[in-house]
Amino acid sequence: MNLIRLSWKYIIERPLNTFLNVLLFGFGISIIIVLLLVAQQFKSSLSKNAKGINLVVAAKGSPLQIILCNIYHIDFPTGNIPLKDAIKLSNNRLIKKSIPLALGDSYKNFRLVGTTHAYTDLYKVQVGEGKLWSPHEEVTLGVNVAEQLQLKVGDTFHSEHGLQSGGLAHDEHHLTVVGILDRSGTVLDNLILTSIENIWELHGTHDESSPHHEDDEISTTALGISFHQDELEQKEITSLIIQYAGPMGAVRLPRMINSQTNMQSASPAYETTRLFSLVGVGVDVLNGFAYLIILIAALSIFISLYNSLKQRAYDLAIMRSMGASKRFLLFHVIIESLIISFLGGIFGLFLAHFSIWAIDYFFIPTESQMHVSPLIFSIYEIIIVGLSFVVGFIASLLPAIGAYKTDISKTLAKG
Amino acid sequence: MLLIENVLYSYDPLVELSFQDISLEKNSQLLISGGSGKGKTTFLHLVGGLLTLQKGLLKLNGVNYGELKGSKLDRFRANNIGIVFQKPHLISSLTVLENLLLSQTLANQKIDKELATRLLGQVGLAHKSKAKTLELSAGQAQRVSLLRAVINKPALILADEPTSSLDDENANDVINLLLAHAKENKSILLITTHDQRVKERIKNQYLL
Repeated sequence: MNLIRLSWKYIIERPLNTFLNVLLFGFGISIIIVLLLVAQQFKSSLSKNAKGINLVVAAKGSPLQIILCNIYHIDFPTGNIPLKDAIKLSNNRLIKKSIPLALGDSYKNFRLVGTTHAYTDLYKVQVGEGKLWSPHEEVTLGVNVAEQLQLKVGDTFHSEHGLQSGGLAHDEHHLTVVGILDRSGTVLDNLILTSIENIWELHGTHDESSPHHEDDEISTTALGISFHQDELEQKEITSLIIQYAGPMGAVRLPRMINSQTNMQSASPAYETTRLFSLVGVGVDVLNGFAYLIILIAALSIFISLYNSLKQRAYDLAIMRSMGASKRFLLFHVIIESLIISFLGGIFGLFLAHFSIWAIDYFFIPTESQMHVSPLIFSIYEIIIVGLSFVVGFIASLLPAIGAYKTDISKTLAKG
Repeated sequence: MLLIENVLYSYDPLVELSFQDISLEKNSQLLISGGSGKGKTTFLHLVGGLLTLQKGLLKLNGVNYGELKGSKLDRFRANNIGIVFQKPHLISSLTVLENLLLSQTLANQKIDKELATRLLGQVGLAHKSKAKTLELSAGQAQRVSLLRAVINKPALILADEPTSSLDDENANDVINLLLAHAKENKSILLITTHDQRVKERIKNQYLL
C-alpha cells in the first residue's frame, strides 16, 4: 500500500470525475501537439520541395499562387508564358539552371506535368522501375500515382484536360507508362511526369500533319525542349523554375523580371514565410484555445481535489493518527493530481497522433501533395507532457497544503 | 510503562483542563469516565500525541514522547500507539484488508498479508477481506478499525468511546477483542467511556 497505490485508490473511487479531468487535460494537450506536429511536417514538406529552387517565373498573378501551383502542385496556374520569353530569360548569366514546366492536364486527380529530366535531377529522384519519359506519349509515374491507380510499366491511359477529375478526356492520345520513380517524399511521388512536347501534342498545338515534323534541319532545342524554329512564336509553357548562379541573382533577377518582362517572379522562401505568417494567426488562436482548455483542466483538478479533501478530512486525520506524517499527506494529494495529469498527458499524446491519422485519412485526399503522418514524433511532445506534470503539480498545491495542515484532533473530535 | 504527570491543557486562556497523574505498568488497563465536556477526548488526544502537549510529561517505555515534534512524533505514534475511535472511520476507498495493510505501511513495517488475514479470520470477517468498507455493518466496521489499531502490536492502545454506537452484542465483542489483544501484546489499554457495559468489565477506573 504505497503512496502511488493509495492515491490511485482515491482516483478510481471517483471514476466520472477522473474521466472528466483526464479528458479535459488530454484535449488541451492533444490540440497543442497536433498543431505542433502538423506545422512541423508542413514546414519540413514545404522546405523539402522548395530545396534548390530560388525563383519561379510564371504569368502575372499572385506570387503565392505561383509558388503553390508550380512547386507544391496545389493551386492552379496563373496562366502561360511565351516559350520565347522563357528561353530569353534562361540565357541570363545570373541563372544557373532553369527548368520549364507545362501544367494543365491530369489523370484521376493526379497532375500531369510536362517538364525535362532536369526536374527529376533537381529532386535527385531515381527511376525505380523502367525509365524516364521520352518526348512522345510516354510518362513516368510518381510512386504514389502508380500505387493508387495500380498502373504498371506498359499500361496506357488517357489524360483529362484540367487539373481536376472530370475534364475532357484526350481520347486520341494514349499515354504509355514507361517508368515509375523511387519514393522520395517530395511532390514527385504524386505527379505524372512527361515531356513538354507531349503536353503540346495533347493540346493540339503541335501540328501533327505539318511537313516539317521530321525535318531536323529546322528543329532546335532550348531548355531541353525540341521544337521547330518557326513554332517558337506560338509555343507557351506554364512556368520556369530557376536556380541562381550566385547571390546577385536574388538581388537583380526578381526586379528585372517583374519590371521588364510580362512575367511574374515568385520566391518560394519569401512566399512560404508569408504563408506561415498568414496561417500563423489561426495557429496562435488555436494554441491559445488549447492552453485555455489546459487551464480549465487544471482548475477542474484543483476543484475536485479541493472538494474531495472536505470529504476526506477524516481519512486524512485517521491516517495521521495511524502515524502518517504531514508530508505523507502532502505527497498523497500531489501524487493524486500528478497521476491524473499523467493520464491526461498520455491520453493527449495518443489522441493527437490518432487525430493526425484521422485528419490525413478523412480530410486529405490521397492524391494531395500535403499529407501528415501520425508516425512522426517530436521531442517537444515530451516537453509538453512534462508540462502537464507541472500544471498538475500546481493545481494540487493548495489542496495538498490543506491536507498537510489537517488538524487531527479537531477533525476527529467532530466525528 | 506509561507515565502521565502534570498534564494541563487549555483551549482558551481562561479555561484550563487539568488531568490526574497516571502511572500504568504494561499489561494493565485503565478506564476513564466522566460527563461530556470534562475533557475525556482531549485527554486521550493528548496521550495519543494528536494534540500538542502544552504542559506536563508523557513517557512511554522510557521515551519522553510529549517532547517529540512533527514527523518524529508521527513515527513514534505509528509504532507505539494504536487508537480506536468512537466511529470506525475506515478508509472507504480501500478494501477491508487494505485498511489493515495501510496501518503496516504507515508504521513502516513489513506488509504482512497473512497476519492481516488471520486477524480478520479471528473476528469472523475473513470473507469480507476484499469487500469495500461501506459494505460492513457498524459492528463489523468497528472490529476492523480495532484490528487496524492493534495490528502493529502497539505498547499503548487508546480507545475513545469505542462501544458507544454499538448494540450490546457488538459492544461486548469489541470489549473482548480489545482486552484480548491488549493481553496478547502486553499492551497498556486506556479507554475513555461512559458506557456502563464497559465499566462492568474493567476494574481500574478513574473519574475525570
